[in-house]
Amino acid sequence: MTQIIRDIPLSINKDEVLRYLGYRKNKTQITNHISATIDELINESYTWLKPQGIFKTIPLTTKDNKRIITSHKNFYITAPDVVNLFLGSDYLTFLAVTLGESLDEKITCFFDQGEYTRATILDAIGSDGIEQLANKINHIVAQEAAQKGYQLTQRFSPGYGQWDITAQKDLLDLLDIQRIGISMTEHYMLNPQKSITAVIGWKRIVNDNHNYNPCDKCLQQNCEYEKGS
Amino acid sequence: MERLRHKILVYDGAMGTMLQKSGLKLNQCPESLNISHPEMLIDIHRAYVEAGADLIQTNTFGANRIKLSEFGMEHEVKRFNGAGIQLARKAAGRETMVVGDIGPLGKLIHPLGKMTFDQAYDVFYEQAKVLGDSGADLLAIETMSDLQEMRIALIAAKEATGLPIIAQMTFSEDMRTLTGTNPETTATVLESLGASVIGVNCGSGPKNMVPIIERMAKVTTAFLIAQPNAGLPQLINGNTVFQQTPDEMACYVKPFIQAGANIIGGCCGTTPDHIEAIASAAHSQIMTPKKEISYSKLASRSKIVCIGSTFPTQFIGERINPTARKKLARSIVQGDMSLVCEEARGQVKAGASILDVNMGVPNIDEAVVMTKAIEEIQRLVDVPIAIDSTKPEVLEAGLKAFIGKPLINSVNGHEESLEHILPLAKKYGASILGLTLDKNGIPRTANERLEVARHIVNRALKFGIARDDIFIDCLVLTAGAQQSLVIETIETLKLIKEALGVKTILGVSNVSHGLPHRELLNATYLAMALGNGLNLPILNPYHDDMINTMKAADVLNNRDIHGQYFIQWEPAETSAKSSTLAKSPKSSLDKSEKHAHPLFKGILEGDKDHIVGSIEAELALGQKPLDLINQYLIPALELVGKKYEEKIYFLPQLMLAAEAMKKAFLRLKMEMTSDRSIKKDTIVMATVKGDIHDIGKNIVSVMLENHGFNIIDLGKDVSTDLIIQTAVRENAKIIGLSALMTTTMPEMGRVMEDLRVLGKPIDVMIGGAVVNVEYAKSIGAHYSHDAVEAVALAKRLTRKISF
Repeated sequence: MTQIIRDIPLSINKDEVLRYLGYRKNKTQITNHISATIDELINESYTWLKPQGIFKTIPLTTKDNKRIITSHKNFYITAPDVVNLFLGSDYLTFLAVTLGESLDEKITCFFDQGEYTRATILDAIGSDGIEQLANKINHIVAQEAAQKGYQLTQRFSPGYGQWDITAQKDLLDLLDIQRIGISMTEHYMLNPQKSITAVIGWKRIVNDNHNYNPCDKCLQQNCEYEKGS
Repeated sequence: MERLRHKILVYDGAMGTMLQKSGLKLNQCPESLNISHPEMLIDIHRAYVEAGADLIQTNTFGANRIKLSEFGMEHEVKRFNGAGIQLARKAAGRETMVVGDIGPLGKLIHPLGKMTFDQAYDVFYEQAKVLGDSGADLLAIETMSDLQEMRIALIAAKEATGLPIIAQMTFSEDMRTLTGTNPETTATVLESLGASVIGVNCGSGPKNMVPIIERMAKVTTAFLIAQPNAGLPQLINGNTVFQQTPDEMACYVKPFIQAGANIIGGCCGTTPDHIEAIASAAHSQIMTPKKEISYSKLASRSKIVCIGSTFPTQFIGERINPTARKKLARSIVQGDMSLVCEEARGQVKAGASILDVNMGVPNIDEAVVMTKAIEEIQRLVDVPIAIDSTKPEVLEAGLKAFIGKPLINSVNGHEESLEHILPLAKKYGASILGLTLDKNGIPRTANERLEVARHIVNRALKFGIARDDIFIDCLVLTAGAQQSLVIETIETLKLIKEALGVKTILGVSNVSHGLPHRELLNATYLAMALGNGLNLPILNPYHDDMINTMKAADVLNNRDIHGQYFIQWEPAETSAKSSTLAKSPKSSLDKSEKHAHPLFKGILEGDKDHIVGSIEAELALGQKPLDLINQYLIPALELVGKKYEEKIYFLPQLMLAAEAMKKAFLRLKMEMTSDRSIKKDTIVMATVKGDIHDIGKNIVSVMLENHGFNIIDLGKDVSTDLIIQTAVRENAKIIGLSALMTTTMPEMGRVMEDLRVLGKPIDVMIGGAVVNVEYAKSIGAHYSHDAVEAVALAKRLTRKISF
């Protein structure tokens, strides 16, 4: 089932914004003026942030140590580092998130007006926002997984490590991302700019250091449900 | 519940992970086991009872219509929940309490998802009703990560059963829920909705949970519960394993109790062994007494606002009200919320900690518009709202939409008002604002108004609304019309405070209607009211006099202890004055002190507001534009670049300097138009074809321009042909290209190749996230790591060409 999530509240983390802007603790001398400008822009940014996400979980049909094949039109992955990451997973969750076009437009608008400082700060705010948004979807999926006895792997995106960026296209098709307003350039780049696609694996949780068997304490004899007998 | 007053209770541990170990498959509905494998469930419950759990929770986490429909079992709500209770009851001891478990729906609630408040309410109501009817002792709503879903579940469960409810949310490592709610807000909102026990479950291990309980305990006297996972799962030999042993978990029992927990149990990964260890550790512990809380709280989705004599005065911004504001009224009628949003942001920026929202425009569906306004406002700002209407259906729409603990504005002494509005406040966990008027209007004397207030307070208390959640508005009359009654309001304030012990509210600016010097009257009256115990003024946040008076009164009324807020605070007006004074251009002529020169400092500090003034001053003294550029502006910009490379400056400072430089250049250009002797080198800048990430290129363009290059910026996604044609036509000395990704980077090579084919040896400098010096060399281009390096490179390249 494909799930869409809109308007999830983000709360921009100033420390992260500073980090994206190249701030180094105990080194960079930040002024009150800049600090106040960042605060102000963070407050205003919620007008232009239109967070949206879409995600879908599908089972894996084949998993050996060379490739990973899903049930969806044989979507498969061969990049060794990705295969290695998802090895042992039963499911994959595909996700795409975006902060929407208004943010891009506002950043461009600031640049055009000669407001370079605001433009760069807003861009950094977007970077924190999109990362947070992806983390939030991750969290939703993690909870669903935990309830079903699964633990998530790290999140991985096309274009990183050995995973070729061209995989982006298959991922987008699979997710039907027009529904949240994301498109792709011929060079596999996402539009709006603050957008992320990623894949997460589901691995079974094993509780191997406490081998509790509920049947150990039960007194009933010859029970057909008894485990380990 | 009575037992909680005397003793720490132990909750059971995981159900889901236990069922999985017993062979539950992923595609199998866990709750169907209540029918197919009852013995298995009884065994698990019994193991927990034997381990020492005082409360055991039914296997009904996902037994709601929505979750069951994933297995085609949506018609089994009654059977699965009913059986869930019976199985737990069979395993329960005489003292064991059976808790009916309710989990999230697995669908996102509006505005996150499509499911509406009412749809979700129905689903929760159905499940809670079955659990209650089947004989649950309590209900638990748990693993909620969205405050709105929790609110709905809690309201539905309360309406369906009247049983005590345990309400638990899940927090991430940053101590916020998925939708940004912190522990204080969680405790405040769930307490106001009538949860008997509030707490936290799942998420992570016990270590991160102790401070969450501690923070909750600071703001609520409700009982608290903690149910951690058995630590964070870790990957061992390709398997995920919960790491915490029973003994390790038991170590946290004492810290939990000291933090304020009354019930301790376990979530994912915990077993009867864990619970046994917890039970034996809890056995010897004495519970921490609850702290008394003497202040009132309102909450948005992500923060609380505390109102009381030990906190600085908070105020309600009054401007989102179309009465007598034609433009606002018109935009509301047209369904346009942009003015409302602007007012919300502006007022919060001006210091309002609560916003009044009134949508009282004739001929609209006020309930629908109220919903829309609140949804828009809470997307933009994180303050509590006072829902301003006397119509129950409008209030209810607002109460459903607002995610937090709002204030209902208003109820009055009229029976019809009390009867319709107090139940809404109770149901949706809102505070109330009571007007001291009834069907006979506003009483004249303070004593008569006190009696109306007393009636409202008594009725509210009877409905189960807490005294701290009652605010009384003593009603301000206009000095211009009823001068003698103005002081009566102040008397009323005093009386109500003493006799009823509730918080007071006043819409102060009413006092000056129709009189001159309104701000003076308002501010003076505000000071009088605050001195007589006013807690929460309603005012226009843009009136600086009132804000200033409030801050000063906080010091004089001993609310702002040691004047700590007052000392740090700068009154809006005076701060503007002093900064213009401080930064006004000085007529320094001292050139040996180059670094102290206003132009040098202006660039170094990026003071774009005053740089043009400084230039005017220099020009007036007969300075030549080129001298100013070469002596001050360029050296200052170079120092900025150096500081940036040393990381003493970061990107905003580089950009501020660039903005100041651009303004300075624009002004100086006007003086230099006649001077044709300055010939600038041209650089064509572009982000390559297929690539749309151009912020880096933009920053480089700005920097190059400031260093005296003529920049032609072609933008992003630019074809090779256009880049080359422009460069040739404009006789460019350099082409600057950026690309973000490995897929777009080869476009740079294409530009190089076409230049070679055409025999145009123009230098190309490249940069971007994946671009490096090796790649640049391989295609015969120049590389720079950042904007400052790009400037140095461009200077080197142009010198080489011109010599």
